[in-house]
Order: sequence, then structure tokens, then C-alpha cells
Amino acid sequence: MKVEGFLKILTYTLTLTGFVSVAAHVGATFVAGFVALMLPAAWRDWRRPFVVPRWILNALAVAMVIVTFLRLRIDNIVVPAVDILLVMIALKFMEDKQPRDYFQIFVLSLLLLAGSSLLSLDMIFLAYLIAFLFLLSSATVLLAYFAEDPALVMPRRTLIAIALKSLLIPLVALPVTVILFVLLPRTSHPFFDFLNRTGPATSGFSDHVRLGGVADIQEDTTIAFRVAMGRLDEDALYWRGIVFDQFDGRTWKTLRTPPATTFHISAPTRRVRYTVYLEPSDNRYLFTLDKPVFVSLRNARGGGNLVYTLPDPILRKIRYEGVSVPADDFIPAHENPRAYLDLPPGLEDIRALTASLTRGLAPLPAVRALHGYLHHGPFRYALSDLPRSSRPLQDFLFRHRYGNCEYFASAMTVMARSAGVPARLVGGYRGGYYHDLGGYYAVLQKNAHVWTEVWLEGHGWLRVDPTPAALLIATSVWQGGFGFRVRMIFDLLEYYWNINVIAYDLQKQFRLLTTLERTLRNPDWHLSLDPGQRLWGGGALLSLMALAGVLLLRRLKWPTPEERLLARFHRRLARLGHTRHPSEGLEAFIARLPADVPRRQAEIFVAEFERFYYKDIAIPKHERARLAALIRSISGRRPEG
Amino acid sequence: MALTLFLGIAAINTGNNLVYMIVAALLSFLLISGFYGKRNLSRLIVDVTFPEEVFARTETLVTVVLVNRRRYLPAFLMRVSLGETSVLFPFLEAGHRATRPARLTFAGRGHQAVSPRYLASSFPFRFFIRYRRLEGDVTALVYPEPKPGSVGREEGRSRSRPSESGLDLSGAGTDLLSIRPYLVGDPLKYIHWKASARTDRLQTKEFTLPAMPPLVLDMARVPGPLEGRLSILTFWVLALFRKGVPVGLKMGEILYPPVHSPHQKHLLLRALALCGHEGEAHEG
Repeated sequence: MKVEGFLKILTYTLTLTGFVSVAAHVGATFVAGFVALMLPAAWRDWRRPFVVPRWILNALAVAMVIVTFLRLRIDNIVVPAVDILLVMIALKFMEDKQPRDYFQIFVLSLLLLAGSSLLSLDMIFLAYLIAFLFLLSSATVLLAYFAEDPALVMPRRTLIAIALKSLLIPLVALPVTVILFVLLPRTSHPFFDFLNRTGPATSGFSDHVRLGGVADIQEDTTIAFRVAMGRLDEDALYWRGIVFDQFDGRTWKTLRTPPATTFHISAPTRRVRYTVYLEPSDNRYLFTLDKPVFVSLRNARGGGNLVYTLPDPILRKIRYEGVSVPADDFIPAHENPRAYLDLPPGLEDIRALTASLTRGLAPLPAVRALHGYLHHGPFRYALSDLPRSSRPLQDFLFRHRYGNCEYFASAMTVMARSAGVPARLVGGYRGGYYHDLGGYYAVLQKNAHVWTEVWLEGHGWLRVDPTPAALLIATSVWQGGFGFRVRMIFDLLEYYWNINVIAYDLQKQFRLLTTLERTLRNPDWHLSLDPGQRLWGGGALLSLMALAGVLLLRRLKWPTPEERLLARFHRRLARLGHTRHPSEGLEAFIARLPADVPRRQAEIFVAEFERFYYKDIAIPKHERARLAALIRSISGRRPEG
Repeated sequence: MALTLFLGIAAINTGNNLVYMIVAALLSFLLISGFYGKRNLSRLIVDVTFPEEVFARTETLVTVVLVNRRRYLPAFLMRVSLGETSVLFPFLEAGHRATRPARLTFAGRGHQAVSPRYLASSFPFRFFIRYRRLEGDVTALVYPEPKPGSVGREEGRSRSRPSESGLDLSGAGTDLLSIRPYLVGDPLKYIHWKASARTDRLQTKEFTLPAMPPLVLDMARVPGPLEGRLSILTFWVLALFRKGVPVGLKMGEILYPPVHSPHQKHLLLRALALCGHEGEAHEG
């Protein structure tokens, strides 16, 4: 088989790997164009060679560059760059390929893979990378053969042996890669951060609440964010995102963003520290465990309503740390509760209902009465078949009597305001699935939730959640169905991928190295690493041990089969009372053996053995067996005395 | 390597850990390939075997033997360079040996070392070609290049320019003296086919040649510069041996009495090859 034939197969596979890694992120036109160019290239490479005029290839390339420059925008560099890479690779495949051309194809394919890492941070990248490295290694080795002699022909078996044996290189390189990845220098402020752009925004949480717009709400089980923390009481799991203060009869909006202020919590519980790994969401809100005290993230701003935001939409995975005090209420140092009493006109029937429920009650009992009416009353929680209407709240309260949390919370807020109690709507998430193995909460899009906060003198803002308990909140990942549990196991992998690979930065590097140093200095060897660090540390330790093992094996030279055979021969004769002196030649040793030893067998053994040994040929297996049999046949009386 | 650097800068400037991962992989490939390239050249033995007669300025087919003494690692893409020529051994399993022919031409006569001799391989990634110079010497005794020419009237006499037809003389009416293994240059008609079939090796008949008067070549009578004279004498030693003429050689004080035997031929060729290479011409 020609080396080039095999090289071609590997090259096509290699490029395909690079292509698949970016295919989902580039324009359909370019994917189609790439495939359209690659098919004739493959036809040309294997079936019937035809010559594509140079000028056509050049014209195509120039046209591509022009098109790319026209599309180029400062916030969109990567996609056009990957597009043009695809076309250049396909054009390269159309040419007659010299060793240099193969090498260029390898480089371009590698750039594709690098491009994919700027487009998506998905864990699948790891699979692409490993596949790519193994292919690259075999292909490059074959390329070295091809470059040495383009017409080289070798038996298929030898070619496969070469390709397989060169897989040893990436196998050894992988642990080294892990170590280098940990050790490579990081900066705290990358220059071209904007090149990192990630995926599509997901739905679930939105920055406005609109009633009566949609009939059905799909249960979206994608991850909204993960929170590394200890397990909390289920009642405390409210993830605060946004506060709505303005209602126009159908839609809730945010008009006021009160300035940050200090606040007081009447019944303080313990402080909870946590780290949030937020998925891209296309809005600016940072979610915190309800009653956040502190959020540590560059550019994050907190307001008096305990809402934290970033100046720009969050288009990629981010990580921030937070400190919260789980509590039902808080009292800001400055607040103007009067601002939370506005109601749109045309809600007379709701006002009447409220008045009938709260007549003569003080604010707190009034709120309790309203909550009791919605929570335990004739209302049903539902996600499907929601009424589409222009007066959604009235339809919910008086006609259909079912709805999702938005209806319950809106009704609660509007009714509280009609009773003269300042109230507002809070949007965020409720609950989450605790992953015992990873030590984190997975909060899904379907956990999106809204609730109400009412202002009571002496209490401040008090959380009231009127949505019935029908909203069953599973709190452990093991409580879902089989599919869900499997998904959550993969989620654990993705979680580790996010915290240890994607979010690995200068700070973590520094921390890891200092922990390592401290651990090594500490005579007790007390390891105090978090699970992620344990993973890395374990990986590094394993690779070091493997390396040490290889070095040790090389040091302790294993006896070759020939040496073992000779040792057996020596032992046999020693049993008969004859030892060979260290400097004595084999033949001289045989010559001085007394007559009672079957000299003939020994002579045959030595002659046969030397036939291989001094020619540096490994003795074939069947020959070894024959020689061993010869040794066994050397028998004789042990000399007396 | 430029690519690694480029991606390294990209990694630092984007802070993208996946790009970091690619860079780490490429760097480790560089490291490992260096290690493998080095191991690939270790514990290999190269041997060269020459044919019985090697002449100067004449292309000679030699056999190159490569032995891989390693336990696990095969020898990949190994180029063995011998002076001007090189042989490629694409793949050799650990513990195996392989042979390849190579064409060598020596410029001069005498003991000639094949140099430089080294192993070269671009394995694994063609990033660089590694060399290892081979220790020890491989030398061949190179005979002078045979060139026809006059060896002087007195010695040559009527047969100073023997023609190929002279070959027909030998054997005719002479007795079979012995049968010996075939040597390169033996006429096909002298091959003893029966004996060859019996022994599985080509055998040549040797005849007594009573008709052939012995002949002594005298170096002093050959005109021209030293190398030219040696070439002419070499030609005649070969030609006369082939004809079955017992041939002797006189070089200054030293006289090799005329005998017809392969041993005599090699003795004379050796003397001619080493002529003027002090001390060595006298052995044999």
C-alpha cells in the first residue's frame, strides 16, 4: 500500500474532526460550501484525478477574502475567520499535495479547532481535541515517511503498525499536556477578551413579566446556573434576580432602581458563602441567594432592592462569589414605600375582592388573608392551556382560577397594593437540585419563579409566595426520573469541566500552587483541597507516578529471554556442581566439564545459543522452547564430596 | 513551532482555557517528539558487508545490516548514511534485523574507511532531523581500479595482450584438478552443475593447466605514474587468473612467485592495493 494513500485517509479524517468542531457555529452557507468543495476533492484524490485550473482556485480564494472583510465587525471576528479557514482548507484539498501542503492542511485544521474553542466552551471540545491529537500524531508520522520518499510503498500491515505505534506519542503526551495546562502562565486581564463569544441565549427567566401572552409554558430543563455551596433548607432556596415595580394591567416592568444602601435583617440567620457558575443568558442579572450581602465580580453593581447586575448582557459563562443571609425580610436604611402603591385603572373588581377579604384588618393580617386566599383558595397551579386574554388578572381571579406563578404573584401584588400595602414582584428562581457528589445546586430554567415582597412597617420587605405547593420542588438530583438522573450525572462532569477547565485562571493557578507548596511542607500531609483541586491534583500525581514508573522500569533492566535462558543453563550445571567463572567463555566452560556430564547436550545448546546470541538476533519463540528442552536433557550424577 | 507560539499568544490574550489546552498539547508533543526522536536512534547497530573484491572507482553493491536491539520501540524511518550514499529502513520491529543493498564507490585504493557513517531520522514529526554518528570504523580493502594497458614486451611475450578467445584454451584436454565454490567472475562454462545441485551452492571446476607457462609481472617494466601502473597490473592479474595462467608479481625487491590459485590472486591484488601504504604492503 502506498504511504500516501493512508496519509490521505488520515488527513481527511483530521480535517473532518476540525470541521465537525465548528460546524454548529458557522453559517450554513459555509458548511454547505465546504462540503460541496470537499466532495469533488475526495473524488479527485481517490477516483479520477482532474486538474482544477489554478486561476479558479485563486479567484475563489480572493473572493472569499473580500467577502470576509465585508462581513468583519469588531465584535464578530471569529466566525468570519473560521468561515474563511473552511474555504481555504477545501481549496487546499483541491490541489496536488506535496508534503508541505499536507502540513498546511494540518495547521489549518488545528486552527479550526482553536476557532471552535472561541465559539463554544462546551465539554465536547475535549473529545474533539483528543481525537484530533491522536489523528494528528499518526498523520504527522506518516507525513514524515511521505516526505522522505513520496513513492514509498509498504505492506498494509507495516503501515498500520507504524500508525498504531505512533499512538504511543499522544498517549504519553496527554498527561504532560495536563501538567502544562496547569502550569502555563495566565494573565488576569486578557487583551482580546471580546473574541470569546458564546452561544445562544436561553429562555426561562426574562427581564419582564407579561401575563396572558402565551398559552403553554415548556418545561425547560436546561441549566440556568450552578451554585457551589452546602445544602440548605428548601424554604430558603429563593434565587433573587430582578424586582418589578410597575404594572400596566398586563405587563410588569422595572422603573426604579434605588441606589445601594445598607439594610437590616430582623431575624438574622447564618451567612452563606457560595460560588455561582452562570450560563449565558442574554440579560444583565446576577442571581443571588435571597437577601444577598455581597457579590464579588468585576463591574457588578448592586442596588437598594438587592438586585445585582452587570453593565452588559451576559453572553458567556461567568463565575462569581456571593455572600447571603437567608431570611424572609429585610429593612433598607432608606426606602420610599409609597412608590410601590401605583395601580393601573380598570381594576375595580379586584379592588372590590380585596376589600371583601381584608376589611378592617391591619396590614400584616391583611397580607396573611390575601396569601391564604390565593395559596389555599380555589386556585390551581397550571403550566398549560393558560388563558390568553387582554384582562389576564381578572380572568385568572374570577373565571379560570388557574395559572402559573406569574398569575399568583401578580394577583398577590396587585391585591396587596389595593389594600394599601406597598408591594412588588420579585423574579428569579426557586429551588434547585442538590448534587451531593459535586456539592452544588443545579438550578434549571424550569425553576424560574416570581414571588411577591410586601412592605410592612417594622418588618421591611417581607417575602410572600402565594403560588400553591402544587409547584413540587424536588431538591435532590436523585429524585427525578431515570433520564433526568442520567442527565444530572453528565451535569456533574460538565460542572467539573466548568469550574476546573473553563474557569481556571491566574487566581486558581496561584491558589493551587500555594496549596501544593504548603502541602509539601506540611509534615502531616493534610490535604485540604476542594473537589476540583483534588481532581487536578490527583491527575497530576498520577501522571508523575506514571512517569516515575517508566523511568524506574528503564533503570531496572528486565532480563531478556536470552539472558533468562542462559541463567537457566547456568543453574542446571550448577546443580551438577559446575559453575562458570564470570570471565570464562561458554565454550571454554563446556570444554572443562568432566565426562560424567552429558557433554553432547551442553555442546549442542551452546552452539545453538551462540548462533543467535552473538548475531544479536532475538531467539524465536519455538527455538527458545527447543533450547529449554535441551537444558532439561542435561542430567548427570552429582559428583560426590 | 511558530504555530505553538502563535496559539500561545492567542491563549494569553484571550484567556481562553481551551486555547491553553491546545497550546499545552502542542508543547507536550514537541517535548515528547524530542524524547522519541532521541530514543529512536538509540541501541541500533549498523553493519556493512562487502563483496570479496572491491575495486576503486567502481560501483560496488554492499549489504547494510540494521539491528534493532531495543526491547519495545521499533526503529522508525531510519536513514543509514554511508559516505555519499544512504539507505532507508522504513520500519524495523524491536529485536529484529533487516538488510538492504547499497551502492558504494571508493575513490582510492588501500584500506578505505566508509565515512562519515551516521543514522538519521526525521521521526516522529519532521520538526527536526536527528543524527547519530556511528562509532567504530568500517573499512574495506579496496583494490586498484583495473585498467588495460601494456606490461612490457619481455614479460608479455606473444600473449602480452591475451584475448578472450584464450579462455577456450583452458580446460581443453586438461584434467579436472578440483571443484571449488563459485567466485564472481568465473566463466559460466566452468560451473560444475552436478556438484552445484548436490551442494545447493554454485561450484566451479578447476583444471590443471600444464599448457600455460607461468608468468611474472614486473612493476618496474610498466610505464606511467604509480596509480596507472597499479591499475594496469590489477587488470592483468585478473585477466591472467581468469585464463588460468599462474601469475607472479615483482614489486621492487619483493617477488611473489607465480602460482595459479584464488589465494594467489587475492595476495597479489592486496599487494597492489597496499603498494606504497607503508608497512602494510609486506604482510600477507
